[in-house]
Amino acid sequence: MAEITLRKLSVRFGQCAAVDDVSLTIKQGEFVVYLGPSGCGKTTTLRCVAGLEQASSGDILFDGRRVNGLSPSRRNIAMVFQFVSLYPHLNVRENILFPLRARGVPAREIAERLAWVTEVFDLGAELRRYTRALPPGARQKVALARAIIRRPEALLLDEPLSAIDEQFREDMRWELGRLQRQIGVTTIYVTHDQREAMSLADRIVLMNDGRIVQTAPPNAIWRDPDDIFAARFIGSPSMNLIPALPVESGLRLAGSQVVLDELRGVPDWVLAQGRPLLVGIRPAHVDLVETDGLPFQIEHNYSVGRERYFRFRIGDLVCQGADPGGASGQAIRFRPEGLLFFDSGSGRRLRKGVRP
Amino acid sequence: MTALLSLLDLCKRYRARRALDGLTLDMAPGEALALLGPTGAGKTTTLMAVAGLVGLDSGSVTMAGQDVTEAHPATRDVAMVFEGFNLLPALDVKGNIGFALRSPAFREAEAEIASRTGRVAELLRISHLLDRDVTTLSGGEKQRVAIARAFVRRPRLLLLDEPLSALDLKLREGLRAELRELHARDRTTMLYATHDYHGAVAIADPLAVIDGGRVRQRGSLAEILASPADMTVGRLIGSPAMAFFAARINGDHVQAEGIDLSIPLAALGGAAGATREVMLGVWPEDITLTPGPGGRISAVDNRGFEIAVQVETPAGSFRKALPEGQGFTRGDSCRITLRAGAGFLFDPATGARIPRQGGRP
Repeated sequence: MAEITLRKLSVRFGQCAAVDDVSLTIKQGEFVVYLGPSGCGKTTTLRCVAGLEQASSGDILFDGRRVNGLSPSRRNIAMVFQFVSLYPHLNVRENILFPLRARGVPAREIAERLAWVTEVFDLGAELRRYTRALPPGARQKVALARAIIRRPEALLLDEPLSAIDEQFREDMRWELGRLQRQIGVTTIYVTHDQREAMSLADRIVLMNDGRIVQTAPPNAIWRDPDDIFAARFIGSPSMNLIPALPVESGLRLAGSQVVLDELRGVPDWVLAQGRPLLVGIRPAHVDLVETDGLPFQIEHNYSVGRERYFRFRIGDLVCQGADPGGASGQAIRFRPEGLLFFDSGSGRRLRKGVRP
Repeated sequence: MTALLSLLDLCKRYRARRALDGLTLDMAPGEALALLGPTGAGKTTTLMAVAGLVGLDSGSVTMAGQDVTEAHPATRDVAMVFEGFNLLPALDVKGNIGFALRSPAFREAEAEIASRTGRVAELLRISHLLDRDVTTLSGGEKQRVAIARAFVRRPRLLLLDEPLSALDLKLREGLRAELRELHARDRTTMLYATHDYHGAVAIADPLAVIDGGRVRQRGSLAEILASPADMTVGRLIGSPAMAFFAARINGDHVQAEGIDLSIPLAALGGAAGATREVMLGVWPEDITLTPGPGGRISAVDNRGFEIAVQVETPAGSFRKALPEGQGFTRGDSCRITLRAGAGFLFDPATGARIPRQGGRP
């Protein structure tokens, strides 16, 4: 199993930089999730690691060894795609063994490895079945077993769950996390689904427009986003971002006379310069209170399934709060620990004691 | 009130496979109903039958009191949005949206077309794209155009077949809210087929849970939570879905094996009966976990403001969401307690609900 390093990796298609100067080291056995919207460069990055795409510049290293020129077959990596491609005329056992047979692995070793993946993937009951008779989740599991039985340097997964029904998808998500930890293979997983990223990753690599926005463990990226893109992409419903201006007594929220006096997180120089900023607060950190709250009108209560939300307006801006149920207040309170501040020009996070 | 749509005992086979097996469903005018079920449940066939795009083996489709089972699709005044976009590449966005308003059957005046196109484009936030070539749009933009094209006609009934499932999660969340808002304004009757519980409850109310070509239960989310019809419904509703424990009726108690759970049968609306095996279904929200013996946390899932845990017990495994900071980690033991009166009994062989005593199902 390899440590994988990307050094100043760029991929250009004509004028367009699909991947733009990406550097990252993925440790041996680590589960890294590339997360971002369509077209952010996450799949292109993965395809570069696999050797299916050529880097325009920069290096890809496996355990310090440059592999840019190596063909996909010589990199010894395994890749699983969104749409499972199994051999329909072979049963599960033969599908899984196919790569070993193709390589002429001795029979005794084949038997050993089959016993190992059968146990790890819990496929004992399925070995003799034909793959078309399996439910989608199980098919994807067979594809993973086939990928793993080769003992690849790394496992690359491109949206492996997104073609699967919601119920199976959640099962597979749990299963996948367990399997990867048991097998310990270096894994790169690409998805646009932040829930998958949050639950599976040791580290999330958040991408946008070909660049890495932030690299951090799931909880850290949720708690401590580096910019407004990360703040809004992670978490659902998205974080509220409220334009504000420093005034003598605090931060005046745009379009209102309301002054926020909770300034613990705001750097002094921002206050001193009177720079416009964005106040970030997640819906889960907005409470309804009876007294001592901010006097915003609660406009609309709604529920999505069992979760209840409310909307309130600050000037023209519609904000959201989450209501755990039973809250009855008519004023708003922002939990101090949930307040984050961003530069309104660059969108970068403003941190106390850090001067850009 | 006359039902806007009434499907009675629809049956349809594709060769050996039974797609619809006596499907019956009513919709009131202005309703947004989610047809929630797994792949292969019969959702798409149901929508196609309503639109007249598939012939039925038996059963009847009635719209506003009129039998349309044999009627031509063009005369039914329904619009359908598919998972794929099916936009017309030769036309720009505005042309695509207005296309149906220029059809021979439903022709509108050009001024009317322009005003309606403009309004729906504004609602779906694609006003800035009206002059663009559809081939240059992103997936989310294309799907907005497809939805706009269906809405602009103000059809009697709008059929949506997994319209969002090809989109990024974030886009999907945004479009769900927009669909809900469109419906709140226009009150167009909407039948929304999906396999995604979150998508279903975010857009529609009531829900119809479908599996095996039949509607298992139709009702508001609250009604379904209060009285799930069978185990299939329990598996498809909720996030996480219902927890099931292998249990046994013993005298006047229900006991789950190995987890020290014993509930008076009376609390579940049952009366003492012969000893028998049952499935005890409980919504995860009605389960409390505390440190102690019974179950074991086998996996933990991060969700930012909350965590979800998977719990293995001798009687069955289940998942439950917990507020952040509840301090369970993988491998911990946990005691399982149920809210008083929570839980439903099912027949383990058929999955059917064992009726409560005293009339209440």
